[in-house]
Order: sequence, then C-alpha cells, then structure tokens
Amino acid sequence: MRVLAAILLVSTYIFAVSNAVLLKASLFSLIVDLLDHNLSNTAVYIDSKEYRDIPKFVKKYRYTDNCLEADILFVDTLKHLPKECIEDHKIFVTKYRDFISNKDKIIGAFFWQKGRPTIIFNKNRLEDFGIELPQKYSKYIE
Amino acid sequence: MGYKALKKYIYFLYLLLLLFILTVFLYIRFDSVIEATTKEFQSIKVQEIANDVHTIEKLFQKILHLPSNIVTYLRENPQRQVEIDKLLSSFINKENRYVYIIYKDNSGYRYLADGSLNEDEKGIFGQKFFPLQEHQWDRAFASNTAKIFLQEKIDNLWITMLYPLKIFKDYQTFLVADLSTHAYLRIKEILMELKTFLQYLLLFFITIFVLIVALYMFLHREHRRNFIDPLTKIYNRAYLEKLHGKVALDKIVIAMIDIDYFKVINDTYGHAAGDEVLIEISKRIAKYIRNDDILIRYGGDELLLILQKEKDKDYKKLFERIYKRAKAEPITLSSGNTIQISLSIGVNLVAYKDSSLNEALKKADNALYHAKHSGRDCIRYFDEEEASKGYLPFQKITELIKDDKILLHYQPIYNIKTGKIDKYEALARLQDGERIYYPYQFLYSIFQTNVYREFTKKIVVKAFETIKKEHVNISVNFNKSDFFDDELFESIKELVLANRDLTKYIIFELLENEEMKTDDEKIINRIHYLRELGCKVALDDFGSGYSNISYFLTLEPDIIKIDGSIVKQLQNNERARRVLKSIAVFAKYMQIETIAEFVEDKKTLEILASYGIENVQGFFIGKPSATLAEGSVKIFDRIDSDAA
Repeated sequence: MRVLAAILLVSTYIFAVSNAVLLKASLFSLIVDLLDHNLSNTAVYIDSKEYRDIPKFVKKYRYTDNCLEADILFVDTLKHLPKECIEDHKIFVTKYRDFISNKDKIIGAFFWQKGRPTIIFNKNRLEDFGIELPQKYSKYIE
Repeated sequence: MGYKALKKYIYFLYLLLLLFILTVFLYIRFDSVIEATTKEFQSIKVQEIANDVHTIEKLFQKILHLPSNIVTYLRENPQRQVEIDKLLSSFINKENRYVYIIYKDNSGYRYLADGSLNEDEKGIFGQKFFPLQEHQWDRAFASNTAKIFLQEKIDNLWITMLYPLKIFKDYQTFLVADLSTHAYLRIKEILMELKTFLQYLLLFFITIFVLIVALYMFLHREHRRNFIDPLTKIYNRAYLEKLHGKVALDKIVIAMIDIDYFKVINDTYGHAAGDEVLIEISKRIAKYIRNDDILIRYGGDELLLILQKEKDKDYKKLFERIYKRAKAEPITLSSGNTIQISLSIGVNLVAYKDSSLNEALKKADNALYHAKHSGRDCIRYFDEEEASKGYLPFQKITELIKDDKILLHYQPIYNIKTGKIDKYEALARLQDGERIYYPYQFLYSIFQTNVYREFTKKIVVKAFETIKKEHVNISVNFNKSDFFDDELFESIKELVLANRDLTKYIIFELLENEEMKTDDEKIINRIHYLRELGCKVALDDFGSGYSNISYFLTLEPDIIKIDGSIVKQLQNNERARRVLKSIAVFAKYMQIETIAEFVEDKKTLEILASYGIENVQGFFIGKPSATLAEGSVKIFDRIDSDAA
C-alpha cells in the first residue's frame, strides 16, 4: 500500500512539473546545441534562479561551477561574473533589458514574458563566435 | 407511522420523486450548463474588451493626440512611450492580466507598447514578440479583424483577444488583451461546487428513497403480519380494533357473512378443507368489492364486510349480487371433492343511526342471527322497527346495566336420587320497572363489549350473594370466549377469590355455541384454575352445537347438561333413547354428573330416571323464578300432585 502511494506521489509530481519545466529544459537544450553543436562534452555554467533546476532534467551536458572552464554561461546578471568569464564566453541572460544594455558581451537572452518563452540571439556576438544558425531560427536573431 | 399513514404522504413522495428526477436531469445537463455559463461570461468579457478598445482608441486620438504613423513617431519620440504604457496599464486588473499593443514589420511581431507594471513581464518598444498559437495571430493580421481564441499552452491565461487599431496607418497594430483564468476559474469553481452540491443532493435523494422503500417494505410486512389474516389474506380482527373511532358511520354499510354448516364441512372433510372453503369464499367476495371497502375475517367462519357508502346506490341489490355470486359455483377442494356452500348474511344499512362501530356491528350481527334462525342461506337486514319491538337499544342496555337493573331468575334442578332441588341455573334478565327483558333481547348487542364485562361481573356477584344467603349450588352461563378475555377473567377470578369459602357452590356452565380453536390452551388453563379453586364446571347442551368428546379430556367437566333436543324426543324416538342411554353410561363411567334439560312431563322424567340420569331441569320441575323458595315449592308441589 505504501509503495503504491509513493508511486502515485512521484508520478503526480513528475506529471505536475513536466509541462512548464520540461518545455524550459528542451528550449535550454536547443540553445546549447545551436551554440555549441560541434563540441562534445559541453561545459555549462548556470548562475540563475530561472535555470538552476535544469541539470536535473538535462543530463547530456557537463555542469560546472567554474565559469572559466564553461563553454556557455546562463546568468541572471553579469554583475557577479568575473571579467575573465565575460570575455570570450557565450553568455545567455534571462532579461531582455540586460540583453539590450550589454549587447557587446551577450550572445542571447532566454526568458519568459506573459507566459510565453522568448529566445533572442545577438547577431554580432554570433558572428564573433562564428556561429551560423539554421535558417529557420533567423527570426530569433537581432 | 402506519401503513395507511404512509399512504397519506403519497403526494409528498411524488414531490420528492419529482425533485429527484429534476436533480438527475440537472446533474446530467450540468456540463452543458458550465459550458453555456462560461460562453456567456466569455461573450460579456469580449464585449467589455471591445468597449475598452474603443475607449483606448479615443484616448489615443483625443487625449494623447497620437499620429497615424505611430512606429516612426515613437522611435523619434521615446518619451511618449511611457504615456501610452501608462494609459494601457489603467486597463489592467485581475481579469485583464496583460494589455499591450503589437505591430508587425518584415521580421515579425514587435511590441509597440505594454501596460504591464511588472518589469520582467513588460515588453519594450521594438522588442520582438513570439506568440504561441502563431497561426491565430497570422490570421488576425492577414484579415485585419478582431480575433479571440482560447489559450491552450499558457498557464493562468484563459483567452487572448486581438483588436486591430485602425487609427494607426504606417504599421498594422493590434491591441492585445490576455485574460487571466482568475474569473473563469472562479466561475468554474462555483459551478463545480454547485455540481458537488447536486451530487450530494442526488445521494441524499437516493438515501431517502432507499430509506422510504425500506420503511415501506417494513411497514408493509408489519401491516401484513399484524392486520392480514395469514389464511385468507384479508384483514383480521385486529384491524377492526384499529378502525374503532376512525370510521365515519354515516359513510358505511356493514354486513356479517357466515358460511352455513361450516362445522359440518370441517368435520366431514377436515380442517384443511374448511380452510380452502374460507379462502375461496373470501376471494369471491373480495372480487365484488372496491379497494376502499374492507373485508375482515371476523371469526372462525364469519366474515365482516364494511362498504364505503355511495349516494343513491342500491345496497340491497349489491348484497344480493354478492350473496348469489359467492355461493353460485360449487367449491372444488384440492382432494377433488366439490362442496356446494350457502351463506347467511346479516346487513346493517343504517349504521349512521348508531353511536359506535360496535353498536353498528351488533346490529349486523343481530340480522345475521335472524338469518341463521330463519333457516340459513339468506340475507336479513337489520330492521329498526322490528328491533324496537323486541330488542333493546344499546344505550338502554348500557343504562340498565349501569343502574344495576339486573335480575337473576333461578331455574331449579332436581336430583332424582335424593328427591331434592339441590342446584339452580341462574338466568339473567334486565328490568326497567315496566318490563322484563330476556337475554335474546340484549345479549347479542353487548357481546364482547365493556358493558358485557360489567354485566357478567354483576351476575357473578349476584350469584355469590344468593349462594352466601341460601348455601345452594348455582350455575352461571358463560361463553368459552369469556375466559379468553383477560379483563373479564381477572374480574371473575377476583370474585371467586373473594368468596373462597363458597366456591364449591358455584358452577361455571360453558355454553355450546362456540367452538374452541384459537388459543384454547389459555381458556383451558383458566377453567382448570377455577376448578382448582373449588368451582365446578358444566358443559351445556351436550350433544348439540360444538360439543366435542375431546372436551372430556381437556375441560374435564364435573357436569354435563344433555341437550334438550335429545330429551324432547325421548318418548317417540328410539334412537334418541339410545343416544341418551349411551351418554348416561359414558358419563357414569367418566364419573361426570348428568343433568337433562327440557323435562316437561312426568313420563320423560321417568325415562331419564330409568337410564340413570342424576338430575333433571325443565318446566315440569320448575320455571325460572326470581326467588329460590317459590321455585322449589312449585316443583315439589308438581311432583307431589302427579304422584298423588
């Protein structure tokens, strides 16, 4: 009886989290793959309330606490990042305002606004890193 | 609540059933109700937003004086963006969660303005906007018409509404309102609560119905057990008790129906055959009455019919029809024998003149008595005029008994061996100062009523008074059913116990007009009890009526009174002499004292004496008289004069 109750509880939890979090996780995964599709064992640094749960659902990347050794960074703000990490790193922010005010440093933004997911890539930074997105994602480039 | 009482509430039950059906209907249709309600709410909101759009457009034009090339204008005048955002924010509330303006350029959708107050939610002028359900947006922009659609992929959003802003010309712009699920869910929640309430209501109704069905079944079973005769399936006598005081006498007619020679059927074919006859007759009669009419098994073979009176109906014709049809066909028994039965019916058509149901029943019984004594197989109606000649009205009987206008006449019983009068039979009369009334004039009317109990008690009291005074043996007549009546028996018992020293003088003479059948043991035990107290028991009219040899074993009588019909034939009928002789020998062998009734001449007396009969009674010995002395003197005079 207890086992049954536990299964029910876990499955209810998984089902409850699946809609919102799994969509976020799949978009996260899409962004990482688009930015780093040639690399294997991509290292990801996360310092964001918005994305801190992602490692639980997306296991194919290596998550690091050291921003220097990360290939891609997801952060809520640039303020806490050391200078070395900002330069030559693919940084994604979670606010549009941060994106437009740090266009020279940031490769893109991924955030939720009015219940809708929004992904924007910075054209200049994509070029800096020599990344060319498939045609179907061109509308997300600014 | 009784079975009949339940019937009273039938309209309430119908109402309950109607409510139940209505609730079931509502419950089944409730999803449609929810859908219709939300649609209605949706249309109200749509109209509301449409009004808002109209207002916003006016405000843009009249207050903010915005030009038609809005995108170019805002790019050049960014300070105006704040004013537009502020204006839009005034339309945001719990239901209108997001209100913003989107325009479309070559690269897609972009924010023009946003009323959102939360910085994280707020779109900035020129910011790209990526709608979900993009095809809906594309269609709206393609047709430049309003579009309303349900949000399927965004939590907490119910409807998105797009309204084209026609005041701006350089780019296609749409005012967008995202409605939150707040009000919708609240409405749905209330409706679901109502649905839950309906579920409970349904459950309540089902429970009530189950309870009512169970109660009805219980009452029906109880009713059957208490008031339905298990043999004939018609009402039993207990049901009649229930009717007392509840029947409107002016609305009924009463008939007592008796199956003629029922005892003969029982004796010839057995009790099972008698039962079959009773069942069949009950069925036949029940066929000709209506649901409102009441058919009761009144006694062993006696049925009581209470018909609800209808205006201008000829009841004599009706009873004639019942009488003819009930006896028309012979009854075929399961044994294969067929019996042609006949019925005696006594009818009281004037129950409205009676003061109680009991009195009305007595009159019907009285009429039945006449039917039986008119050769049976007929209907007799209670005749008020005839009754007034001979029979006393119930009220008068009650008053006479209450005023102790009871008179005991004593008929002497002569002991042939001793040549002495050593017993008397007490015979009750009523007197009103002018006339003396005999039992046939009043006994039927009061039988088994409180008045009858009172009457019987007073007779026993008077008998003991005479015994105390004269120290002679006195027999008092009783029906066997008197000993079944708890209240009456208790009174007799008290009187006997109060006269313990005189019990050897009193003789309880049991009449042969009733057969002992139901609860015989109770009657037998009570008679035995009286014998143990020293009283004697006599069987009256032995050789007639319901007299049965088995009574010798059960009642163990001290005396038997040989029926007058045998005694009367002694002089002319050899068979009668043989029967009497056999009874005398049998009684002697059983050590039972014998009394021969109806002795009207000396020759009869001599025959009886020669057969060893110990006692004789009859007009030859002495007529009933108010005083003992007169009676005994008269008898001796007669015997002496005849001897002389």
